[in-house]
Amino acid sequence: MKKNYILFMVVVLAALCSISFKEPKENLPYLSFYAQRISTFYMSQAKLAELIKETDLTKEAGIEKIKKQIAETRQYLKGLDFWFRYVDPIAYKKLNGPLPVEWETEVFEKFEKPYKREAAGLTLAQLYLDEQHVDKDSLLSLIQSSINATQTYTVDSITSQFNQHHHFFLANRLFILNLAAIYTTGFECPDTSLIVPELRHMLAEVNTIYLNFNDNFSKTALSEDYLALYKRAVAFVNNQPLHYSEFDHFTFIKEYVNPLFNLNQQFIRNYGVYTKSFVDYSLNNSSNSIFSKDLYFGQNAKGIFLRVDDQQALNQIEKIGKLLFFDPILSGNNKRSCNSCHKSTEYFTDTVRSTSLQFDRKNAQTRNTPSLVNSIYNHLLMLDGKHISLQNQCKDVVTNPTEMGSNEKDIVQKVLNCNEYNKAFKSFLKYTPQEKEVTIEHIASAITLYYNKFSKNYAPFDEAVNANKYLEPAVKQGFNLFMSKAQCGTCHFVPQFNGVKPPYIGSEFEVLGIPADTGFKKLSADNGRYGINPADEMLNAFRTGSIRNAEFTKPYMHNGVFTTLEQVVDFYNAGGGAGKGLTVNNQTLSSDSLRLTVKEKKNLILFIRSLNENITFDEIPVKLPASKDKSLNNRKVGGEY
Amino acid sequence: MKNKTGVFIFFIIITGLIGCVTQAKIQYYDFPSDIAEEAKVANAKMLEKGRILYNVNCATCHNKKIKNRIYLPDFSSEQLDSYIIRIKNEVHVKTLPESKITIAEIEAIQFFFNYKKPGLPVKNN
Repeated sequence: MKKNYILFMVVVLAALCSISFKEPKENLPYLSFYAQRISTFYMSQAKLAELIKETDLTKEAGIEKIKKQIAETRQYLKGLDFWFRYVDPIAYKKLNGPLPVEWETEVFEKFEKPYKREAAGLTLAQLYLDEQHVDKDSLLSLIQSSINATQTYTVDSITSQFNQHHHFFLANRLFILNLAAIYTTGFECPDTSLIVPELRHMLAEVNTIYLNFNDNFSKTALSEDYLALYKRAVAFVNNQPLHYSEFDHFTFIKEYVNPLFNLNQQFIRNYGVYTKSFVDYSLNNSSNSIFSKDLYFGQNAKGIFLRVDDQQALNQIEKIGKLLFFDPILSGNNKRSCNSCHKSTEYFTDTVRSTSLQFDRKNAQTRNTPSLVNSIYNHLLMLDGKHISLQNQCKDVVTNPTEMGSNEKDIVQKVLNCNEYNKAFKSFLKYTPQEKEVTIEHIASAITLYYNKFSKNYAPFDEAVNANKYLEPAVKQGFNLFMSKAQCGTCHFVPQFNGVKPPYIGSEFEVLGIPADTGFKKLSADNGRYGINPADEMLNAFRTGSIRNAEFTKPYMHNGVFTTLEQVVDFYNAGGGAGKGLTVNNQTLSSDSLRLTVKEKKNLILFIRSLNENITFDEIPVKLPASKDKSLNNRKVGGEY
Repeated sequence: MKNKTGVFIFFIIITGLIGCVTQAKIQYYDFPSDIAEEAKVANAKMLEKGRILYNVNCATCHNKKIKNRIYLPDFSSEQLDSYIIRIKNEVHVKTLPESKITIAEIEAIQFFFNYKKPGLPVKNN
């Protein structure tokens, strides 16, 4: 068996080296440089597999030996991370996936069912070693999958990209975004003592990649400015404390990562870099800061009017959208409006009720009303990710018998029966030549255009990063905790602090073990995402929301069980539902206590408050358009309940 | 009596006209032979939407001029694949981002080209 391995390695090595080995070793062509790193990683994995085979896994010493080899192999992987994550992120999950199974919704195929992605590789192997009984074959198969997946990275369709500069700057962009959002948080590094050492190692490895690239692509090279800034970033990290809880995440992002991002965006624009990868699908080449709200495209607020760019026209549509938002004519009984639950005076949520009233005015909904502010930065909407567009979400609510209880036909007819709406929508038809008549799409699109104008604002934290504004040291400490010991940043990703992680093409779901009430006697009975995607991993899973404006959007969690931020922090600090003693078989949150001190909790909340955005909310309309049906003309602005 | 006959004749003419218009639309598409006439009419409405969306979003680059006549392109099924349209086409990545055309709209355009007869001039369509 051992012989087989060695033979295999030799064949692979020969194959890799044959790609291009014409130049002498000291100045390797870019592709050979890549190939050489792959073969080293390959050999390290093979060595790991051999070691697993011959080691007695019942002995502590054996486990330790394997852990050491895993750590060594990880180092080689970190030398390839820069390319691997970009050129094939799906295969990467087999090398270093953080969870055994992930369900993903491809952003450009949102309407398709979620894809099941089974992960393998080093992180899972390392976690598996901590279990009570370690089965040799299971452990080996995690590594074998990783070895097989490594081959994916040597196929022509991938290596051919290395002849041009395009992939490099796009991979570099993803690398920089990951520096901001993932690499310093322990997202895929279960041993938190290794986070900063691995970061240092990776930064050094990427520096070598940079120099090699510049040698080989002098016409599209990284500038001296960029390399000098990168050098300072490396020095900064090397001078930081070794533990990620003491690491200055804020300064790292503000002074180094974000300026590097800005320079790389300039390269992308100036060097005519183009993409052929879904990885770049949502990212905006014009954005100049990770903390700019145009960083990625989540939702289309304009709906059917998406090709309208004229600001005056948009203002007219928005004005009608505002009236509709407050108009109970959209409901079955003409008594409820969007504003009934998404109160414009309360950050477009209901801060009083844990869950809003149903259409029958007696029963309560099962889920808390989410704020509409910043909903645009999600790919999937609703707590269970049921909808792929804001307009579909809007249509669902107005026609849902437990919410607004109307139907599409009545809505269109009642709206067009009002002269003001009728005139406006008929004039908007010129923007939608594919539609001969006014439809529910036009109505829903006007509404989504209206409320999304409140999602464009910035918070003091953003301004500290973008405009160098002062931020209290305690807030920075809170952010540094958020990204480390408090383990928030591994699910609430920079910069929207929601479940959308670089490259910002999908929404994530988590199982937290939310209780039915604050007595913590039983779990909330809500299946969550399972209702949409009936997979075991998705039972009781909910879409990760943004923590922006959290201070003003209480109550919290899918059922509104917590009314203060302190309660929420305490819940996480205890290790979620499982940490509180509830049985949660698939909790994605560690059940260990975070051991946060009183002061740490306080700083964490100060940081969350620094994400309160500077929003000017609208005045509620004084009156609504008159209908030809006189009985409808006494309807209340904003609805009755 | 006379008046009623007038109304009746008017009605017949109108029905005939509508029929002709619908017919005119349907004959530009290749429907499988087992599709019912009503389904063809219903589809024609969707196809018309796809045609207009094509004109708005794609025609500037994709219409072909042959001997002073403008023709619609004929795309292969591979060219009509969503992944090819959205991701693999470096021009589309710039010109047709999600903020400019929705997935549902691209589907309508794909639908139109799946049923359109080959070699159609733009004018008659």
